[in-house]
Amino acid sequence: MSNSVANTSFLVVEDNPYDLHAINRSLSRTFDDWSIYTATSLQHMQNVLSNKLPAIGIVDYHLPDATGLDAIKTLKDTVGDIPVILVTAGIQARDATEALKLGAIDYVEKDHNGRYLTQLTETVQSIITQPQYVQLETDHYRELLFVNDLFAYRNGPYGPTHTARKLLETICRHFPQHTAATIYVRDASRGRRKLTAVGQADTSSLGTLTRYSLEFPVSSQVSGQIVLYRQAHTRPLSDRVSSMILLELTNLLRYTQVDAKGSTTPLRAPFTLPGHGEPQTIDSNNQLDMDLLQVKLHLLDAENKEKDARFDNVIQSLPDAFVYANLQHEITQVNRSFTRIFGYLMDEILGQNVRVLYADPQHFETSVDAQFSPITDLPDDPLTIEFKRKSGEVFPGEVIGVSVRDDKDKVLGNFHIARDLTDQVQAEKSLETLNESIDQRVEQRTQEIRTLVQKITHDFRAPTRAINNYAAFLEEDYKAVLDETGLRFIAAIRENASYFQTLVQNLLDYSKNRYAQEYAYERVNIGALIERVVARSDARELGTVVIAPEWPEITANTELLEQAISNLLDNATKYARPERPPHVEFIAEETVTHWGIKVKDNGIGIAESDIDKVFRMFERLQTEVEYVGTGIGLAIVKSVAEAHAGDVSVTSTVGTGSTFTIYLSKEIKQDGRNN
Amino acid sequence: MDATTEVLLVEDSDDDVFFMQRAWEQNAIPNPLNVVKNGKECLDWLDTPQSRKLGLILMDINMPIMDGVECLRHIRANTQFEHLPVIILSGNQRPQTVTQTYKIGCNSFIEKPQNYDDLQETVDLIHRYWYNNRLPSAI
Repeated sequence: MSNSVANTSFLVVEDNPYDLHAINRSLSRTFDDWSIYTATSLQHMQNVLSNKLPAIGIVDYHLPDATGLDAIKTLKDTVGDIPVILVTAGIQARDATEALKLGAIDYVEKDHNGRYLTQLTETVQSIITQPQYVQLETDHYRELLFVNDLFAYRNGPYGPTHTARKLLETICRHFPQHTAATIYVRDASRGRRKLTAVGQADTSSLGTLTRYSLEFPVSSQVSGQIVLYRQAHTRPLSDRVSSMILLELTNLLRYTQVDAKGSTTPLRAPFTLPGHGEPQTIDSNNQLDMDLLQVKLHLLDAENKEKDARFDNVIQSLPDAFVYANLQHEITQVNRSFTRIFGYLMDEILGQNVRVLYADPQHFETSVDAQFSPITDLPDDPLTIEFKRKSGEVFPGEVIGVSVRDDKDKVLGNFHIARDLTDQVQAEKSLETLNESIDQRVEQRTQEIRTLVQKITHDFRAPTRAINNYAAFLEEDYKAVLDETGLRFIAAIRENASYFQTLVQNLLDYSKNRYAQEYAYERVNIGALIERVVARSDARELGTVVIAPEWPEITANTELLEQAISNLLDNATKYARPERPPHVEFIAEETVTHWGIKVKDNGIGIAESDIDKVFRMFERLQTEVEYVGTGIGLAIVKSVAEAHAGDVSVTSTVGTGSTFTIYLSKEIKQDGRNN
Repeated sequence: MDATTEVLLVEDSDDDVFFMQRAWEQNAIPNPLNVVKNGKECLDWLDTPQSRKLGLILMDINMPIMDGVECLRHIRANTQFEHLPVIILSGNQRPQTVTQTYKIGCNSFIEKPQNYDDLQETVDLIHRYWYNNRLPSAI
């Protein structure tokens, strides 16, 4: 169940363990969000009250060391005027009256069937449904307990700062109703400085705040100020509490008074409190001063304490260096990676200007600092920059700047998230070097292959020519003395030599195209070019050739293109079916990026499984007996297409014919270079 | 050029020399065909008195000691032979080589025929063309 009482705890004082169990069970079932403290004697109760603050007391009349009346009296004296219910078994009317006089709310008679438990919970229910009453009362008790707590700090082994923080924590713990507090120490020689601030208020609903400013002299030079913010509707601090706070504060700060003779004496309480406790209403939405902002930050800190701890751990373990610098660019926080990357110890770097981390401080001003200025929701891309290690070593890296801002978008400080790119840059460099050397080696190797192929093919020509010629001479000069077998052998020699000559010639042509460094490109009328190639060939003698009437003028290398068309034409006529003469058609095609020249024949066709072999060098799909070819012709066509940023494709049906299409890019520039 | 005008073949390949000689005979060309093995031998031969009857040089390019291009350069530098017809017969048809050779002053650049029949035809054409060619008289 819900209620408006912040403090939700019972104190049950009962010596009979069975009754205690029954009461506890009954209370915890009905008020499941309340906590229950228990005591079995008056003395036990006193111990419990030394560090617990119950909102409601339930006291048995018969205690081993006292009566319930004694317990009520002690309870009221210690905690304050909290509601107390007396539980009795056969109580005297006089005692009941006495109990009510002492401040008990009600009394409940124990019975044997447990009905008194119902009555007890009903009574408790009626108390806590009067929130105002309980609220006011519990506030009052908190003040009392607060004073107790303050006494606990007296003579504690703490330094001023730590003590002041403890004091504020105490204030805020006891007055959690949207309270925030700051302690300032004003020193005539050093100006006002914030000693510490702490609070537990829900900052998102601060609303209208009441600001309590309590000033007090500490010495002739030093005065203290405690600023408390509370929500306007909460009850103001009583004079008693204010006085106690100041008293304890002064005590705990351990300031001493310096008299005219120069001797020091501890400052003594009590002392005057000029103008304290005058509430001053401010609107947090419009007029928050820096005090409150600082307080709010602390409030957020407190709220997100656990989250922050986790976040801190993450930041600590990140491989990037995190550096937080304030508005003066002084480094106030760094993570572990920072010390590893930059080589500073924590102590060395804190307070130093963040510029020391950058190789070029001017670059920092113009680039890094500037990056923080624009208001952006998304982090900027990392800025590539050079950093400087403690040793002076400059190293490449990148930095992301994140500014920390308050609600009003006022910059409070900047995060520099720095990444060391030394390894990466080195890796990139060596990769670059590697690539360059690979390029060089490929180029060198290509040159070698080109030279080798040309040399081999060239050197092959002379001996094959010689073999062919000598075989011819043999046949010519010695025909008379050779029998039929001898002549057949000579014919075989000549046939093979001829084939080898063609092969060498084709290979030479191929290598010329394949390894040519550059070609000259010019405007070429494809139709005229095809007509030229056809006219030079024996295609029209073997069969029929149809050339489409309309052809574009394109940019190409004439010599290469002639060779490709010639090879395609040879191919179309060579692989004709024996029973019908070849019929070749040249058809123009245009795609978005390329011109296509289709060469369609009515030949034997290519099996689908062989299609991808046709453009490979030396792949011959037919036996030599039927069709003479070297298997290089189509490889040349492909290399010509590639020299024009294009490709070759083929569609074919066995027995019907094939259509080869050579595609030439429209993008080729006149006199352009193309490998 | 008449039947007594001599022809000089500059060719390092014995086979090619043999093919040329055979084609020369089979075409019944009356002019004597002299043979040297490289550019250096060619220049030496030109220094002999026999060179006064020389009317045509047929020269390969790729040869040891001195190649055809270098040899041609020397020939053209000599005023006695600056107008002497020189026909290059080569397997090296790189465009740069062709251009270079023409610039130095060859009269014709012919690819070595790949079979004997073609060679025979080529030799016949060369003979018939140059037989009737008129040259300025040597100074």
